[in-house]
Amino acid sequence: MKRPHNHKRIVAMHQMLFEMARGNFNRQITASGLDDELETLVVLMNMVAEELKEAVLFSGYINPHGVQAHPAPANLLLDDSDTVTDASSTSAALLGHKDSGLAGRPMFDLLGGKMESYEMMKRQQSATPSGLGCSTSLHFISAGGLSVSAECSLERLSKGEGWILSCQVQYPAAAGSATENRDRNNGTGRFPSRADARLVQKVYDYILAHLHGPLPSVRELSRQFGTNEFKLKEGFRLFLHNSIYQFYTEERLKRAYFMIEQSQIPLKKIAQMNGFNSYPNFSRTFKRRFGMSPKDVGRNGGD
Amino acid sequence: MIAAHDFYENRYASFWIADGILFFRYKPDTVIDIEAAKCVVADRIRFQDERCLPVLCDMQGVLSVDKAGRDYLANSGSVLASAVALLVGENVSLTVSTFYLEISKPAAPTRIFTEESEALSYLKGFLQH
Repeated sequence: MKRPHNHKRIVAMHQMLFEMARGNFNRQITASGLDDELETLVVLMNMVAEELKEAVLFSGYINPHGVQAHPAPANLLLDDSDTVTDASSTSAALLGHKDSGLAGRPMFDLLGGKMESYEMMKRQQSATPSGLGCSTSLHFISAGGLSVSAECSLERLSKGEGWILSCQVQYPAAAGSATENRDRNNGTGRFPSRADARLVQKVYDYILAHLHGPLPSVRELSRQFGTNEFKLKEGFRLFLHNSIYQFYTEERLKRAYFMIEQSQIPLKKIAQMNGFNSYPNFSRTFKRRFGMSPKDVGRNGGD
Repeated sequence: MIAAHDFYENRYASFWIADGILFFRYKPDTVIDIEAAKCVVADRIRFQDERCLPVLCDMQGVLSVDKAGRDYLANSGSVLASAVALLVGENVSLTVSTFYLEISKPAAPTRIFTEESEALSYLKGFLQH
């Protein structure tokens, strides 16, 4: 493993993995011509990068660092021959289809021909008089050919004709699906570029690292990040479905909630530590967001 | 958690405060998932007792950190940390820490060190006098 040609390939793979984690799928490792195990990984990585680039992230990618992911229900209605009769918007977006694009599709296709888990779930459900079956992880194949896993449960519809398949997915609201971004851009006539995504990612990360202080104006932020106000506002709305200020306030409130819950720091100090200029302002905004006063949050920080 | 005035220990790490710096050491072969991340952050915040401190975090015992754990540490894990120095070994902990720094983007100023003395001199710049 320590021979120079191995080392060179390992360095190239490290670099490529970091680029992929940043959302850049353009890098490829030059084939060495060797026929060994390491080269199989090189070839595999090149192919995975190409597939990911085309299938999901063609329009750029924002890494929300888990901040915005939230569980979302995705439901499919199925007839007795396991064909989709209707689908919620979330399930369509999850699988890379337009809203009506899932109707008429057999589960066999959506599961890439692997029906074992689905059929077992159906048998279990049929055998349970209460109708409450166990949830099972199903692996769907999206329109772009990607595997999408979701925890699903199946239930007979009340009139006895057909089924409802309920899936819980962690839906990254911030990033949006490729379909969603594509549709949104039909309105503006412009596809977001990798540079747009990089810009929004930088501002996103900057805001998360500066929640303790006042947010500079959009003009100042634009200047700081070498862009113009329009591009920054548009990019934020496109990728994060939110305005810059709304995102900043939402994250400060979440951080403040966490600090109230986890520490005994006085509430006024928490307001100050999260960039609020006065406690009444903090308290009002907090109550509007969480439906309760900061004083009503249970505190776990004591010994 | 074993509580003492100047030393805390839980399932995943031990930590203590000396010269205004919080020393935080993961135990050998630690796998950080969301449960571990929540536990160490909650215990650290409680231990710090409202003080915002620079943190020397010895990562050498860490085997892996999953995505949920990395994201939690990068965001909630920055609370009451004025800066973080990650102390790493040669291979796995270096790769895990570099990935965390460059991709998860911790909210507190964070740097990676292989020498404790260099990590401490970085953190001294964040001491509150």
